[in-house]
Amino acid sequence: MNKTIYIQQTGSVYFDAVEEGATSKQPDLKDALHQLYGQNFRRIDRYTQLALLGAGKCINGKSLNSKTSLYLATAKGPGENNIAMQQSLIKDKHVPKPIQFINAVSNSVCYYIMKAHALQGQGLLVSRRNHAFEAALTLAINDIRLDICQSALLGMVDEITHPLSHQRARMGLTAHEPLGEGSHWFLLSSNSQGAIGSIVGNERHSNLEQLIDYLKSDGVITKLLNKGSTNVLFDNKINLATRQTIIQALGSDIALHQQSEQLWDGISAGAIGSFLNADREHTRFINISKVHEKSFQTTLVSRCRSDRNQSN
Amino acid sequence: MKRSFIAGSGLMCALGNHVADCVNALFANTVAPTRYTNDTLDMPIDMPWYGIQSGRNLDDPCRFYTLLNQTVSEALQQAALDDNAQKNMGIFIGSSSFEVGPSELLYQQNLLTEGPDHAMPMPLESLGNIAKQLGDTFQISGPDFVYGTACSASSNALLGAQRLIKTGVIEHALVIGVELHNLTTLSGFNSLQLVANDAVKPFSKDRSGLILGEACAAVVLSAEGAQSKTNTEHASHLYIAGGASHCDTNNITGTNTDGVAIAKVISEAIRNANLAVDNISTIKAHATASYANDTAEANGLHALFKTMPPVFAMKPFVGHTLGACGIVELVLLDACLKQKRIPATPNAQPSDAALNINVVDNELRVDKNAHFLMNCFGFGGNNTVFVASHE
Repeated sequence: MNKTIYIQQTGSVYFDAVEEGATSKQPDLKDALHQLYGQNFRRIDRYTQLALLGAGKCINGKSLNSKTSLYLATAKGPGENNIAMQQSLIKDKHVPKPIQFINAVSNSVCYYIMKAHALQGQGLLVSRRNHAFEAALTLAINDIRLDICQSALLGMVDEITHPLSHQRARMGLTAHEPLGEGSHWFLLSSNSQGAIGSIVGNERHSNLEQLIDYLKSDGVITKLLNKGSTNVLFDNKINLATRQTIIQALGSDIALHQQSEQLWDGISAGAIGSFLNADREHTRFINISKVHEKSFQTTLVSRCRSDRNQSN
Repeated sequence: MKRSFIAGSGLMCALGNHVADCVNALFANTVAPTRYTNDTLDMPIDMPWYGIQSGRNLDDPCRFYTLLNQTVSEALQQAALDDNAQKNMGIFIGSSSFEVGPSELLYQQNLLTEGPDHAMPMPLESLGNIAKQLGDTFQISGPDFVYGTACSASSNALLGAQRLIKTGVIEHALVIGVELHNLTTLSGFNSLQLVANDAVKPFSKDRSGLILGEACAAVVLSAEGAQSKTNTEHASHLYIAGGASHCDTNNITGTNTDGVAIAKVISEAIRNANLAVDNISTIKAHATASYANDTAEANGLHALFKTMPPVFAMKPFVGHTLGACGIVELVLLDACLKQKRIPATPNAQPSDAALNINVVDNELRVDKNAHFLMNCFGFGGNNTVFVASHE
């Protein structure tokens, strides 16, 4: 029942937000998409472009089993599309254009990815106020364990929306806090062959004490902490005192993950991707997120020995 | 591997504001759609609509949360879980519009107070806000999952909950389908010209499209043996036996009318429930009464069933409640089964000979050990089917 879940491939795209008034703009993705897929995608929004680009880089031309399910994690879905539609409807009194409306309500982003890669499993758009990636990961792992799917294409997509002052206001950020947009993807399966990493654990803890007990448990120490140096990422809602308590509990060879991407919603997906592809110093990764007032979630990732040098 | 039983349910829809009111109105078949009009847009709206008669003004930004909380409260009261079980339960929500209604109203207010150049559209942007709000209100701190897969959203939420209960990750789940009044949905469907002008006529030769409805529905799913011992009055014998979800990439607006993709997802749902096609006793069709959807569903059913079990539909009573329809129609089915009967489906006659689906036109008596196929098909090729079994 408790099959190990392996990470077969990863793929990422990331862009810093370009502040309004700057001479450059957020990069156009059409050329990159054409280069990757050899076709033009008509009438898709930037959110779907980002998703296709990340998913395409992850799949990297590999033919996937048709029983692959898609899990697209997102905090707010196709933001620019939805904002433009609401502005036009409420302010200007224009009814939504059919394609704009369908893109907003229909999970069309999964449709385009599944069509482009000839997938026929389930295509789920999954969200959570904070840490949507961990929510989708939980579902993907459970479905693989139940043989609902043989493999899972799992991604987290964040899109920049304009003006940036509005995006910061919606996210509760102060002016000038850095923003970025990204599309981070993972191909998961229970097959160890050719894997670059494995999900050692993905657990929720009701409070800090339970989290500490878990990290000190035999299973975690045996599987993770005793086996090499560990990289740790705390989400930014965990205060300094709590971080210190957790670091003391880990009591091992750990280093804090240095996150270069200015992501808020998809920070854990970005960090796991960069751990597997760029970080050669550490062999283990622990992502610790605060998912509720008192609850935490940990995602434990281990690099496989048969590491392939993949960097998309 | 634990089975998931319905331990409590709540419902607000055009039929009423509580499950008991809804099921009474369902059998009385006295609720008809009202007219929804809006002449402020560049394409005015004038169409039938199944709205909730809650006594709250549609322009009240609190209406959404009041209706949602009332529905969830009904389900939780019926389930009567102890504090610890409720605290650790998972929350699963399916919707296609989420908080768009309150977001529109807030933006409208901001346009008045801040002016068109400064007001911020989509002030409520996160899809996960609803789960966070419910967790805070009802002191639930288990994992939450929000699904946006068009009309199959709450069916997918149900399957997600059933599967996490099956593997023991959670013991109880609050599963919600919510689709409440908002201008985006109403004007969007109006512009797509998919709306009928009078009634929902599933599989009828006179069918002319869907009629939208708003609804909020909730079920508490509990692992077998974990149901509250005090919950005897509302105890259900209905459990979720299994299901399947596929994406048919034939067309962004719907599944292929040849029915092949529908037959495939139904077949997998039945297999996942450890049943055979012959075990299905009754089919709750998606039955939007749109030309293409009914054609696809009829072709899919004929491809699989040599002898067609009785087919019924709920949308002629409540309208198409979009992402909420999976849970709305499950709650209605559960309430019907407690009365051991299913109502005749109105407006299905004269039937469309080309589709050859004989929708039940007399009340059906229901025995125990029945397996119900529950179909949901949506935009984006989102096809989800689950089996609800009555023991």
